[in-house]
Amino acid sequence: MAKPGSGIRAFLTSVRLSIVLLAAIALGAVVGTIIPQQEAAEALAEKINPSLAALFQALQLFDVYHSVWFIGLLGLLAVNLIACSLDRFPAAWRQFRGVTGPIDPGLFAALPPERIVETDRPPAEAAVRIEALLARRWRRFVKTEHPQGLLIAAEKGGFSRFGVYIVHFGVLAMIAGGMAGGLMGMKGTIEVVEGESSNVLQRRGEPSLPLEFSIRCDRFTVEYYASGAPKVFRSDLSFLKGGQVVHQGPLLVNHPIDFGGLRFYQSSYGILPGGRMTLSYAKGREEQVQREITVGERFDLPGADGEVEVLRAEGNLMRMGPAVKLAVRSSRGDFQFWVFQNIERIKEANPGILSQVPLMNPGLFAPWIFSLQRGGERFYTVLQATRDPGAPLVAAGAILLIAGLITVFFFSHRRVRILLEAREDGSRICVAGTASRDPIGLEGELRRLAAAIRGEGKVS
Amino acid sequence: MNHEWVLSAVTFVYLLSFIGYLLWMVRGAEFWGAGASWIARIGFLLHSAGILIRWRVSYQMGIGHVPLTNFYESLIFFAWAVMLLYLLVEWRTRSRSPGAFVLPVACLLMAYASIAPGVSGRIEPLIPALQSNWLTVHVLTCFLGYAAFAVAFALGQMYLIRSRRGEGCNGVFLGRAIPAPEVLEDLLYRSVILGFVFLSLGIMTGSIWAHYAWGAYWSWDPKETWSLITWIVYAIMLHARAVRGWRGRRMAWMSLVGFVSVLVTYLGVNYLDSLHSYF
Repeated sequence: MAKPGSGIRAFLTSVRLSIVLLAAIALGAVVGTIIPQQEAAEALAEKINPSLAALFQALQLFDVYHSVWFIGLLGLLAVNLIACSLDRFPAAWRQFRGVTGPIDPGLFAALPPERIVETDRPPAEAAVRIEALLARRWRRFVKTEHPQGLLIAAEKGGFSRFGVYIVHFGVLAMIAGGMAGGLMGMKGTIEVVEGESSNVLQRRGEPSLPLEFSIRCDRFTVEYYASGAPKVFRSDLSFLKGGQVVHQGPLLVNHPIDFGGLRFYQSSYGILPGGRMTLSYAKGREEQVQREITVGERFDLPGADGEVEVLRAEGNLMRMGPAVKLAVRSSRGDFQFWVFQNIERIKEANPGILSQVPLMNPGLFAPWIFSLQRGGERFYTVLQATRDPGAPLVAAGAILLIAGLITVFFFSHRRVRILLEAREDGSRICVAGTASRDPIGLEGELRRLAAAIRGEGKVS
Repeated sequence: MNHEWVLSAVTFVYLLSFIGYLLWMVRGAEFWGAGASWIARIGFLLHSAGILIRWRVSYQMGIGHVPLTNFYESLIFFAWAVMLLYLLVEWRTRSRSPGAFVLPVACLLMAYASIAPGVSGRIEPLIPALQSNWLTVHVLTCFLGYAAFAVAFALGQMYLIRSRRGEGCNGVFLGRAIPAPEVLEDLLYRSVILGFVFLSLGIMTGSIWAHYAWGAYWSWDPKETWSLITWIVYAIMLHARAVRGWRGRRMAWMSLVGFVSVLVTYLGVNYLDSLHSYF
């Protein structure tokens, strides 16, 4: 602990400082969730009083988590953790090493009766039995002579003294890993139009970066559930070096691809206009005719059955995918209806929809049936690419943290001291002990141990 | 059987059990206590059955997934975890007095799931971001942590009532029914430990998932940030106890502060832009 005169040391090794720092970090984090951060801050900055906005700007309140003061607090916490651990570790080591140590004179005073056992065996003989009992769960037992009789000492769970250092080391590793990721990591996005390729990594607030390889999006697929919620976003990618495909694979949400030192994620997508549309149509069961179409175009059906006009085209109509609206003019009258590319799936999800909603029936102009082979959408996929050299360190830190917490909270360093006093007709055995934590658990264990010595029940 | 109906009924079973625990505290007759305990256990069985039925139904709909994927399901699981922990405490300590403080929490969560506007009980298929095995472990660990903190919150209130200076402490109403402060303190500490370990696991599994889904293990998303704030509140509580010797009423107050932070993490951040909009 701190010696007088070592002010800075006393300051850095105090748990009061840790608590103040943790509270300050928590408060800073709260501020960051109340004030809009980064891009979102601009709208607020324009709304509020300019001098207040300038103050917020100066205090870096629009980017709390990357501000000098927030990172400074984290750094100070790291220093405090290291100082506390170095300061206290030697004492923990001594506790871990020493099995016998000095005995608190009051240890055997005022023991509850269930922890005192009277036996007709002499101490030496009783000790052998007790050692056999202890051997199952306790380690490092030592038998010594004591002014009042024979003393057996044993311990277990000594490693739990180190749990707190494991936790703190884990936290340090996570802070270090986070800093490393922030300094040496990279993050950007790449947009690739379906069928094309790109090697341009766009970074926020920095010039875009050409990669040594390019990525081609062979196909982008989006599928929907019947409710309209998205089901699958998938980019089939080819990674090209010098025009040669060196790696291929599907990229899905939750299933990133590692390539060229970067990790790629399916981040977003968009639809561009101007793709080709292919319509096919058939009279009843006769052979299908295929035709490339554009909006506004008119064409005649074979056999002078009528004239078709392409009225509109939509990339994602009512969240059910691509569709074109056709008008058919014939001697039987005029018909207008939508032709969906995904009509089979729509029918499956909504039985009876074609009879209920004639506007969605591609067979409205019976016996002709229309279908949209290619809906004219042109997808582009947005990939996120990251490199984070700090991530493994953070992961290791997290594992240490959890392991340390379990060690701290679910184990304790227990020491048992058993005093055997000689009596005229045998001996009197007193069971006492100490624990680094959980006195109630210790009490139970000592009671069960005394019961086992008495010959009732088992030791746990 | 309709799972939503079963789960709504559970709300009333818990309400009944709560009334039983209250009567037991006021009247002192063992009859009321035993009855309340049995009703709570039956409610818990029904509750479990409701969750299992819902799980099965999702498979019958062809969109099978664990019922831990939206706000409704998280409320139901939260209440379930609170009841699980409470029944374990009741069984281990043979004391049913926390019941009058824990049951209302479970009951309110269930009622909120059933009647709050904007909480949909429909079983929805999983959007791509949620199609991950980490979803299950993340939600499971987080809500077990929240449940342990909810139990600590109830114990903290009991402690504050029990240890209040002057009248009340020895009154008929509370003196008999609430265990000794030392027992409460130990239970409270254990609940907080359990919650802290589960919250740590929850944040960790969430980070792993975010690493795979969003390309960043930590994005300072409001929910992430608030989970860290909650973690820090309980970390301060545990350090103050271990090193600075905080006990008793201070710990009880901290359990209340901590639970407010849990509630902000769980509910409050829905009013902020968040990647966690499904919960």
